[in-house]
Amino acid sequence: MIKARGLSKTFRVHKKEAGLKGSLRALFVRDWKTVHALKGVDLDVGAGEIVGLVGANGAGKTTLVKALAGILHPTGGTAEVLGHVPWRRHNEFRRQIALIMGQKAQLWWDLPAGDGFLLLREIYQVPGDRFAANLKTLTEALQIGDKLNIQIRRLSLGERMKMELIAALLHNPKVLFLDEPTIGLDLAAQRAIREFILDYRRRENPAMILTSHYMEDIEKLCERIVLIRDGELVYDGGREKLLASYALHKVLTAHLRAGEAPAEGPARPQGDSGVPGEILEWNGTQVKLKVPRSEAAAAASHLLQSYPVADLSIEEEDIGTVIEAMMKRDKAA
Amino acid sequence: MNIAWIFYLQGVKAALSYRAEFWINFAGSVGSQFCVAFFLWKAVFLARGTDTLQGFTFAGLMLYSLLVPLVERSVMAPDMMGIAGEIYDGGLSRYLLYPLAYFQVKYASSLAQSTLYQGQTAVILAVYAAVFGSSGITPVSLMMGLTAIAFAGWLGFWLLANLEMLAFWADNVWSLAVMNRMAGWLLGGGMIPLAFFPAWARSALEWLPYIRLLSFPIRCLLGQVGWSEWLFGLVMTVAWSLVFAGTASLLWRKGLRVYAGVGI
Amino acid sequence: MIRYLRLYAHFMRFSISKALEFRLDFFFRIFMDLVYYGIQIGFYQAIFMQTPLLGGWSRDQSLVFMGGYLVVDAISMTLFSNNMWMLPVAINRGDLDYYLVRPVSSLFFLSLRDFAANSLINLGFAVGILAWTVLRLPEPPHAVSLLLFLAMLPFGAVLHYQMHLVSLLPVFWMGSGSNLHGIFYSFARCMERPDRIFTGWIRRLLVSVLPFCLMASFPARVFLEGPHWPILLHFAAVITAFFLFIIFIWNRGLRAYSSASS
Repeated sequence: MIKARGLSKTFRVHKKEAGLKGSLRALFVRDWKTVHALKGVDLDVGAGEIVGLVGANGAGKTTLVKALAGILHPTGGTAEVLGHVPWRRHNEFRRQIALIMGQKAQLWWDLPAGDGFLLLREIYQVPGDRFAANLKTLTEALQIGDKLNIQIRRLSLGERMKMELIAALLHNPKVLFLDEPTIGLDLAAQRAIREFILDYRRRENPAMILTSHYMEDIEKLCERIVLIRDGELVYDGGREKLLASYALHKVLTAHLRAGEAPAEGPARPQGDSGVPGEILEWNGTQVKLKVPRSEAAAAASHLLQSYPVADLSIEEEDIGTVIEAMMKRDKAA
Repeated sequence: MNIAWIFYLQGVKAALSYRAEFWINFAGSVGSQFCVAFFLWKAVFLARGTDTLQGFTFAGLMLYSLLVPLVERSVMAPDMMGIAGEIYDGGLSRYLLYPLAYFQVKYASSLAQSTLYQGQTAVILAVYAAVFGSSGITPVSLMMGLTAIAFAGWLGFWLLANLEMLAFWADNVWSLAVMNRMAGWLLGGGMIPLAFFPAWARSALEWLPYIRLLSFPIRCLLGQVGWSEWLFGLVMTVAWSLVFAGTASLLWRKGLRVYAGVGI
Repeated sequence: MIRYLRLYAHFMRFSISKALEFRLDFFFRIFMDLVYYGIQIGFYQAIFMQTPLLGGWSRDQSLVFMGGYLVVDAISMTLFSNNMWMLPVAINRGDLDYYLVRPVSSLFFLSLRDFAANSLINLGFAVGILAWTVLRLPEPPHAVSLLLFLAMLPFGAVLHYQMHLVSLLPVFWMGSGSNLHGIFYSFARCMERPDRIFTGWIRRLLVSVLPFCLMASFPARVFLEGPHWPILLHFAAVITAFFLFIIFIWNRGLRAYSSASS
């Protein structure tokens, strides 16, 4: 459904020396600096897929999303979304996509959401009965039906985001771009929006690209992760594979049997004492270690032999930590 | 319902929601413009000691001066239509995303404002006619004038759209809109009727767009324009509109290539 | 006092850097004011094709008056105008909070923090036009009158700023106020015509509570017709009265602002 080949975008920004002298000089002579926001990105997304687009601030996430949604005209490369070139903005194309930006309100600020939805119905020419049915399903799922008559600017951030989501889905888009849909929301609202997105996927089977700074969003929603750094894709594949090939450590957690260990817990080993890996936690009831993958089995047996273990679990490292480590490593390389 | 019609209605609603400010501002600006014109021409007539100047009686000049701010508001209604602002703050993205024709929407909204101004013009003309008599305005001249205003509004829209779209490259262009207004003010006969200009200037201005925005519709309203001149004027208005619509679509295409939608 | 001057130097530096950042806009604005100057010159040329005198002044004298109000306008644009545009916004959005917590007069801060570098260049042009109009007078000007004229023009600009500020003060009680500028600029047109064309009660308004005729006409009269004490006193009294009035209302407004905000 989405296909991009060698997509690139360059911006020109001017540099200015600090101070008044620099400003005066810049009035007549300008030093331009070319910023490569995207450097030849290839990406394919199929129906029903939710792709998590992850990267640091300024890595090019939003630029990529905007290019695929047709807002930005790329400098080079090709893209096809639903068989259309996005930046030609054919009406047929625009009727089938939606872009949600957590940072930016699209609904009309001074109108109640309900009025905005009616306007969108006209814009997208959604048949009346389908519009009513969609609106009912969406407002019920997000439990916001009672707020439809309140001006957008008087809603809370969470309510506004829910309205934006409804606005974006009223026309049953087949391709959905979600740019930080949960930014600034509390945990309950974040959870509601995540469940809602999964629900929408079950019903409509769209292709979705999601960017977020909350690793929980990525973890709960995306089977596939695309890492972008300085305008280049550095990883594109399954979440599990990302962990398998890039997580260098596993986390061992051992719960200790009460009563058998000293109240203050077993003495915390000092220095190179034979306990493998890095100690994350060490107290009377629980021991948590971070060990290299290859040594996980050995570390587990060491724990079982040396301490009164009631329960032992071996888990993958937190995905956020893995991604963070990857970004650092690539930068160093 | 047609989508342009919806945006038109929305524009009317928005303009009416600022009722008090709208009317205070309107009365203040029309009143003060008229007041300055009144004293200026009174002084000139006194100094000259004549009854007519370039074919205008004092009463005729006053009616002309009253029509200037009214017609100006109808044809160059909004100072800025928000195109530049939407380019600057990224609000344009919304329209790029929706299956809409941007200029159609913008024209519908600006037309909404100018309809309200035309309504005000009609009210004030009616009051004027009731107090001072019709002074040259007939149903036919009214028809000719309102048609000319409608065409002029179309021209004014495309003219301003061109300037506002320079915001793709210049960030802030309100100064251009102000310049446009001032140019229309002098070259369109807003400051002084063009009859007071030297002949060479008048014949040159005939071929520029600004005369179609103010002087031409006002003279139509006052019944100073014959059928052939009226037709010629409308043709010129349309011709200039087409020129500016053409350059606007060029700017639009070029501009979208550099549009960044704010915040990479 | 020294502290305020140093603060002002900082405002200038910041504003100039900021203005130069948007260079197309910077040049556009300079050009905009040049268009305005051209239109004013064109207007007086056209009017004097119809009449030998306007408000008692000949063409040459009227042009000197015009040069005067172009200078008044340019000074006001350079020092105050941008700030006045921002003032209602600052009060509505609650930005005023930032200025109230600082140990500096909020009125000083809000009136002067933005210095318009582009208008400073236009001020150069305006002064040039004024010089040109003075030089083409048939008789050489009287030195004392010329000095008084030049000294009064900046005060004309102060009066211009005072009137703009007065027109914006209702924003403290009204909430919104984006259209108040329109009212001010509508009335400000009266500044651009010789004061003696206005008669009756309108004239009385324009030299007292709406003193637009004082801004450029009175300085020009001092120059063209010699210094008269009544005119000078009148001029000084109105500026002082507005100064006191503004301080009074401003403090009232701040009280309304601080009790309304949460």
